[in-house]
Amino acid sequence: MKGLLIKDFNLLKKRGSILLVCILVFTVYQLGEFNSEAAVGFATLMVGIFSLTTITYDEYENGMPFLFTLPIRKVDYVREKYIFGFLIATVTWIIMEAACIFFDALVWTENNGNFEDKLAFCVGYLALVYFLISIQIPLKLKFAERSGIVMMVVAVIISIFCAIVLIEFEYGVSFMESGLSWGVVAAVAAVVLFALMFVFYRWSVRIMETREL
Amino acid sequence: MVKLENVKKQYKDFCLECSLEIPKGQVTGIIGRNGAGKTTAFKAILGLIKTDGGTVELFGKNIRDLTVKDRERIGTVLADSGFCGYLTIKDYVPMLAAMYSDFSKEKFVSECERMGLPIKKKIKEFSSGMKRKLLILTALSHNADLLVLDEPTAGLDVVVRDEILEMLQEYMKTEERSILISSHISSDLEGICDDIYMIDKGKIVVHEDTDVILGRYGLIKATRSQYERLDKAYIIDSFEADFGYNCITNQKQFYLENYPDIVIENGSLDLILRMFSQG
Repeated sequence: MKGLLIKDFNLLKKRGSILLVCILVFTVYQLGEFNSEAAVGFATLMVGIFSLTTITYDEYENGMPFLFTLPIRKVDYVREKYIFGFLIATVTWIIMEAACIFFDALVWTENNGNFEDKLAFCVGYLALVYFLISIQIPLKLKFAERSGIVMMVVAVIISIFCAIVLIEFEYGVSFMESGLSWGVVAAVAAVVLFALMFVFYRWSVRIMETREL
Repeated sequence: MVKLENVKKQYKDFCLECSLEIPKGQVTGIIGRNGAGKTTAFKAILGLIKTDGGTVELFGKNIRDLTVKDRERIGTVLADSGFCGYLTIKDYVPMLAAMYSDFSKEKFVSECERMGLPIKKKIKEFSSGMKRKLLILTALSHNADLLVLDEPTAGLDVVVRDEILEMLQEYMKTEERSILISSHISSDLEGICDDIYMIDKGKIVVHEDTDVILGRYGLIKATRSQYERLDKAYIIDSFEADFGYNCITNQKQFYLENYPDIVIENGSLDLILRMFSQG
């Protein structure tokens, strides 16, 4: 797995310069708009999505069969993709979060809003990126170049689901205020997220195990 | 070293059904026309496809039970697959070093330089011959016990091909190593292989020692009058030509002794391929 991680970090190094420019431009723009949390979210999302493109690079010119003649197991390949995706998304999140906190504290001292709200937003965004990486890996492995279309369908379904939840949330404000604390809600959300991530991981392994190269 | 027993792989319009064995210390060649099943057989040996029947054994183990350590003992060149073109050799060196316990960075890089492969150039900018050289050098870089080489010399000029074949012969000087190799260039196989399998429509139709094929088979070039007086007992097949007939025999010596005035060419893999492919 170490070898695969080295390969993907080298790909990030080679192909990540455009990504870095996009993140820098967006970050400068958002900091100017006092939206440091948006900069954190955008950078984490972009880097998370980039991790998925390494699968496309592995498929480039029918590269997969050769890759699997090297001493790696299919399950290691899937694990590496998850580890690589989570790792670079998390590192980006930490760097951006630290940079934005620093910026808010030293530059936009009068307009930086509530720190806890911003942090909660950023943590939520990181969780969302974890979720997107988790679901996109099996879709990429299963549908290859058609994964984008499939993801759009999935996104529509998730959006409808979220809309329903939000509407219900409106009705359920009193319920939230009456009993459950935000800590409990966050814990339940975290458990659901981890459960879904595990399901997607197992699905990815199954796809690779049955895939012919 | 490698054993395929009644391996079956069914596709929509093609079925591979074959058994073959590669003993230790031997170079085994596979020949066959395009689409005959060579690459499918290679993929079955490497565990890249799931077979519908039979067993594939490598190093005495079922292919499904091979560990990562066992896989380190295999060096591979595939006909239609290789390294990602967006990286350079320099990028791949640490990856290979992390994957193979017996990989020497310095030796690999110096071999690449010796073969004229630019270390810092993207692999997608390599010519097809350069890509092939890189795959061969990678297969040879980690002291593998088994080389599985599907068309390793395709796209290489004659000088480099000879160099590669020399490298393979050098590789075989270490005992207990084996090579399974396929090539469209039959002279490559004739020079290096101990035995040859011929595959046609997914089935093994010939398995002979290379010496037997080259020594016993021959192509008789007879005029029409020579053909009429020819004893056809050992003629396997005949084809009409401008000058008369081309006849394939598996008893070349008989005709050499009894018909000294007739031109008889030595047997070759091309001859065998042509003969069996035409049924």
